[in-house]
Amino acid sequence: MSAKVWILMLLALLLPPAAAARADTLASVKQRGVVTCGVSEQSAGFAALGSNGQWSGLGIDYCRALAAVVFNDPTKISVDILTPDIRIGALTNDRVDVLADLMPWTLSNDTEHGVKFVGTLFYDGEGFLVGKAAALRSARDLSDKQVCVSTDSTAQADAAEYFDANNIKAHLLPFPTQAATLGAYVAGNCIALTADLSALVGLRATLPTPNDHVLLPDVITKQPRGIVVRQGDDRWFDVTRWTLYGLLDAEELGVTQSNVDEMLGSDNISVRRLLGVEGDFGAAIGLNKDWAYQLIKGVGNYADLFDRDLGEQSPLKLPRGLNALWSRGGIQYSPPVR
Amino acid sequence: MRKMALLRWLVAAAALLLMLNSAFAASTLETVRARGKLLCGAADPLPGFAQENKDGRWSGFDVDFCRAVAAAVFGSADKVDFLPLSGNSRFALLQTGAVDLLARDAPWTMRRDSGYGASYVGTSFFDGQGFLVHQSLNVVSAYELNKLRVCVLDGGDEVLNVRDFFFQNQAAYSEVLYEDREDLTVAYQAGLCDAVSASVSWLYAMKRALPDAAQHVILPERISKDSFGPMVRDGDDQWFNIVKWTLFTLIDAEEVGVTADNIDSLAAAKTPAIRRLLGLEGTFGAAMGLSPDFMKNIIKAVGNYGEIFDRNFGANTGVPLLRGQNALWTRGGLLFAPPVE
Repeated sequence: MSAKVWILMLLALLLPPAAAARADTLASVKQRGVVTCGVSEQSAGFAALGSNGQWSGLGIDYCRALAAVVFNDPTKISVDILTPDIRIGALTNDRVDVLADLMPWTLSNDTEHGVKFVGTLFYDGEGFLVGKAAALRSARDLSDKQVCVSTDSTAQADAAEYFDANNIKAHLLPFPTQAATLGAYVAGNCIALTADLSALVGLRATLPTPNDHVLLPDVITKQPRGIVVRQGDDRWFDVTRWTLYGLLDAEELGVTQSNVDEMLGSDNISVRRLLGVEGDFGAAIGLNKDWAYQLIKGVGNYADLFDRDLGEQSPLKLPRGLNALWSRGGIQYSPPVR
Repeated sequence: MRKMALLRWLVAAAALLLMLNSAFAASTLETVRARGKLLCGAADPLPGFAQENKDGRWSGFDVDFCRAVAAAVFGSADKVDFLPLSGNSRFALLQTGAVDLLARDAPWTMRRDSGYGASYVGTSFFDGQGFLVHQSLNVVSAYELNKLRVCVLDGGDEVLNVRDFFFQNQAAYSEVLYEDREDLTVAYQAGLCDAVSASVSWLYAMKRALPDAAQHVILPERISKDSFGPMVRDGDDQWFNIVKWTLFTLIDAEEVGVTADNIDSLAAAKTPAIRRLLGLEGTFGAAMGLSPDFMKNIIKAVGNYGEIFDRNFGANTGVPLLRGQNALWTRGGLLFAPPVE
């Protein structure tokens, strides 16, 4: 065997395996021509397939935002419906590029499955749906009342703990499924239905007269829900992280889908940086310098998305709550494009 | 002769590759464990954030965060060397492994988050540009500032922010411009200006160094948004998670009311959120290579976020800083951490 072959063999042996297999999701997305997003089955406001064959919802809009950033074209997405038991595998096996099914950001989800949370797209939490006619103003008014809850989540335990801690003598009426819980609520077996806000808005929309039902102001748990990517690909993490921050920064700076072209002429230095008029902040992560302009042009800012999918412009009419910007009473916050 | 040269080349190549191999393959956690201590860097010393006493011991907000990470890794907060790093070489030192993390760098921006092979794990301190004035001015809000001289750094965003602020408020002022931060202090003390505008973290440090600190006040308004937090190098998600969840543990502990003082009395607590934080329920550290009681070790060693804040910026320092945006999200601030579940 020649010395050259020996050297080559030795090199091959010593090469770090991680480097050899280093993932580059951005490159494969560009090559494929679409971003593949994992979403859950029908979830009103987050990922729902309309009768017109069009997807809508906050998770879907985030995917479109990614496509706008990568391709200058928000339509270049491919939607993959995943059940909760296979969603993480679908991400770690490269079947999807990003999970946009709004998985809860918890310590175990964040550290135990080889995935990484990009940030919080939606601050969720357990709330209460009540009939307007009941004239309840807060969770305190639930004393001596029946509250329907499904046992397929931690909602029951969390509500019990909350009532106990706040000395509210409400009675929890458990049902095995969300559908059965809703049925009992509709039948009038309980005055309130408790579940995560993200579920409640969808449930309310299925009621015969949604406007006769309101959410109490109390949100009794914290449940941040986020976009999730694979570990081991820092550039893709940066692309997905800054797509989220771009949406929030645009709202804070007042750059919307309808005024973004006008804003190109702004003399506000922060707006000029965001839109790529001044400086190039995209190159370091493989994007064009006008990545955020394309993002806003393609899908709008965070408020545009929220209003369209969950808020005032949608049938769900969910208030911004914690999802308002930090400067407007909420806690949505993003570092600047600078 | 030729054989010898080849052999030497081979040995050199092998050594180089082994080095590369260990640089890439060995996890930061393994390296830290093998070394027996954490190497924790931060930006320049700044009163409240990092200061050295006469015995050469470092203390401060940054130092406490470093100690928290050491407690997570070793169960002991003392196994750490704190390295205040001046100048612009901090990213290079992080990338080459000379430090394992930066407890505090410059404000979190897209450039710093994406351009230097490093990432912010989250926000540990919400900063922002504010105003420092003498109490004799009798103002409680920046919106009352009018017809005065403002010391501010020239040539950057800070002076632009001041111009925007006064223009939008239709208030009159004159700029007193300097190139170095130190000059702002000297000029302000000499009465060359009535107010100083700079990041609150820096104004706070400046105020603390003034002989009559209590006579000066940092106004509550922030005219820019800035935050900073711990940074780790790219390429090691396990370490990213360890540092991130050290931060989140501090915040979550404050939210559920677990402190360094009461933690030992909580072993019989029933609240699930407290039990999980203490490692009495679940096995949370294992996936990161940590012991199941890593959160308990953190809190026992340094306390929760509120305790760290009070220790370094609270009333006992004689120069209290308002929590402001650094209060918990449940108390009007922006500090938030995902739950331990």
